[in-house]
Amino acid sequence: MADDTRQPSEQEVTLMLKRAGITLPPDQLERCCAVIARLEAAAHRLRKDLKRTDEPASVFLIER
Amino acid sequence: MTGELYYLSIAETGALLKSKQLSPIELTNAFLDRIEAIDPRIHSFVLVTHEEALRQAKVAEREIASNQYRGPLHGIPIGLKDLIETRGIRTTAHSKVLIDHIPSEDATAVRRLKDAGAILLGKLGCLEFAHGSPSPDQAWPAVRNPWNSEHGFTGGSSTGSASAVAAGLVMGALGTDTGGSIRNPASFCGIAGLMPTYGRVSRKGVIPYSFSLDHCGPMAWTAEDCAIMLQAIAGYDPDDPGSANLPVPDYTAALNTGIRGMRIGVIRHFYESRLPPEDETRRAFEAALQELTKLGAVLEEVKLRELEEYDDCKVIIGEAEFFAVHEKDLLERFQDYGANLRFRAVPGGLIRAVDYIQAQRQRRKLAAEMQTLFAGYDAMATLCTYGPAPKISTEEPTHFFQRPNLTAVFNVTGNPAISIRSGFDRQGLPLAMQIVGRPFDEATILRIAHAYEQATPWRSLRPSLV
Repeated sequence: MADDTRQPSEQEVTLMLKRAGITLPPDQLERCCAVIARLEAAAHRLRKDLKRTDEPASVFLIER
Repeated sequence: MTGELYYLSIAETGALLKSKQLSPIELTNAFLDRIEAIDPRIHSFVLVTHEEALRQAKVAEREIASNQYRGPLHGIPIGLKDLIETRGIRTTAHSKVLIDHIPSEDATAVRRLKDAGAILLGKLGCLEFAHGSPSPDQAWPAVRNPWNSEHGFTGGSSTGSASAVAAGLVMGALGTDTGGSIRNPASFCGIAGLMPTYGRVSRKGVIPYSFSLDHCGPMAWTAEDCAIMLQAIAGYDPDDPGSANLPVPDYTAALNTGIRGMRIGVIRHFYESRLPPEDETRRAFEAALQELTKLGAVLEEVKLRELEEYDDCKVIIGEAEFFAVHEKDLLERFQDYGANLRFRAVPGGLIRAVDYIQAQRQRRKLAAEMQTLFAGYDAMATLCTYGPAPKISTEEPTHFFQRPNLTAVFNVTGNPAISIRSGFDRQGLPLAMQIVGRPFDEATILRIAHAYEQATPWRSLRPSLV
């Protein structure tokens, strides 16, 4: 996998978690940072060439 | 009747039960005895429903004796991943969070198995909420792989289902699959595991991981047994908003008609360039492809998008939906989650809404492209895992996220896929391949898997448990 991850600082993650109401012990925080870096990389790689009209998969039918 | 009843297939056992050569009570007792003898070494069960199993066996015995035979699952001992709700029987998702959860209803798939006459032996361990990994602070020990009960990991997350089937503690089990959780443990434990098309089997009563990626499906010793189980559980359920209102075909009718002339696309590029599998795994896959050619299939290399594109999509959607399911409990009872799930679960709450939506938009494109490609093929084949079962570890922190797995592709697109054994490595651990089908065409991949199993010796080998 391409290594285009940006490791967020523990301070940044701590702040984000605080907003979500969660506090992690140091070892968990370190692992959490690694997961967040992976998610950020995945989000960064998502295709940016979608057309304005491209619909999400979660669009649904209303049944009569 | 004597002998190793627990190593018969569902198809073989069903015939014996139907002809009254075998008693459901005798069969159930044999399995309960075996669980008592073997399970302390592999920890596949979190709960054995001893009394309920015997009660159901007595009913089955009485019905079969009075010629009220319900079909090939009547009297067959099965287990359920403990993510699947059972009326009056504790369902924990392998988590302290649900340690006291006793559902008031059966999941639809469970109700259908009971209607088919299956005997429930108990609830099977899994990774916590289908997403964690073994950690020392959990309520149950980690499930072990019967091919290496000292060190072997079963894969995730339908760990107990795969382990119990492989060890002959149940004849079939239900698992769930959000990114490979039926197919990976089936692969590591050397059994057959089918992820049906999204919408084919009801998710009602399956504790969710990710609403749009979750599938429920059968795990058994053979593809034929998976077909028998699928027959019982497939079909529309108005209580599942993702359920497809489509007719259910006869999954066993065409199993023995061979695969001559079938066109099978072979996907190698997922792993060839940047993520090479272990040599023995690759060789076993190539040998399996040769076998399919010998059976008359026409194989052709096929190229999809890069594996990473599917995986990124799956990770963003799956993690965001998992957090949405667990937000309240994560905030209110964080310490009740296992240590190795906590750090995994929290980041899902930090995914931006726009990234989730972009992932869903990309997903629609990926799924549409996949179905267009399938116009030229009856099925596709690829590896299921990069190698045999690794050693179990409670220390692994983030490897889950380090390398895209080979299975989540088809959760993103919704296609059905089955994992079947393709040989063994030099240490005697099972290897597997994955066969993928068109939407709602489980019958074709079951037929291919069955033809391959009939042509190869792998099904005759069981783990060496006493």
